[in-house]
Amino acid sequence: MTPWALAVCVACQLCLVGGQICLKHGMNATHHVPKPWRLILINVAAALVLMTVWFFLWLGLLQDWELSRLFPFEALSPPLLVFGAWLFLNERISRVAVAGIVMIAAGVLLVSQS
Amino acid sequence: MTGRRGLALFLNPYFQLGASAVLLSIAEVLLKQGADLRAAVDPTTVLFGIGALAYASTWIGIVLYVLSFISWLHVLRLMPLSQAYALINVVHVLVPAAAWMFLQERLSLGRLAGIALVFAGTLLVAAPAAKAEDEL
Repeated sequence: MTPWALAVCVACQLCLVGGQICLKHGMNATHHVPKPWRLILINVAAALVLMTVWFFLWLGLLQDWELSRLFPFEALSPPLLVFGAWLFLNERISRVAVAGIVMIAAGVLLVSQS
Repeated sequence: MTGRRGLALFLNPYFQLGASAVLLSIAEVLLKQGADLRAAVDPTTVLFGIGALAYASTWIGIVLYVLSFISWLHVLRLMPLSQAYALINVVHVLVPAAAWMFLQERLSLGRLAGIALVFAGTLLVAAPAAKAEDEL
């Protein structure tokens, strides 16, 4: 795969993870009384924008690359979540998580070169 | 009685999780078919694959994707996130298998090894990722 395609694959997953987090924040806010409508709408709208970008980037990638080569990149979402928690919440990354992330990264690299 | 048992089975989180994985796999194959049809008409590399929306397979793929997402939301209401994350990883085996079966994609030894590594890695990282998603 070209470096450009690899970068688009990663950007695609960043949009997906960002969209999921925004959607979750929006849904969590619906439990508050009174409902913070502004916060809910901003989060849901941001999630929709990010997921739409993810979807069309993904369709663009599918036009050029095989599905079995692209799909393993979807597995980058869990490592991105763990990195996000480390970056924004100073969460420690456990050894098991590090092992999993290394395996996913190695697997994705192997598939991208196949 | 049979109807009630059928409904109970249908709403069972494990059944819904399986349904979600299968629907997602079929959706991915259909999206790829739509993208291939577009690429056959215009092989230029594009950043956003909007042109694939001109094909029925893309739209059926989108509908199945949404159905898969609804099943996933149902699963999340009834199952801990870490467990659901670990089980849904079966898609990393199902999707390449579907691509091989229905799209005639060749799965080289290197690709199979990579897919196996990704699958094993996602199982290890499922619980920490679920915790991270809860907190973020």
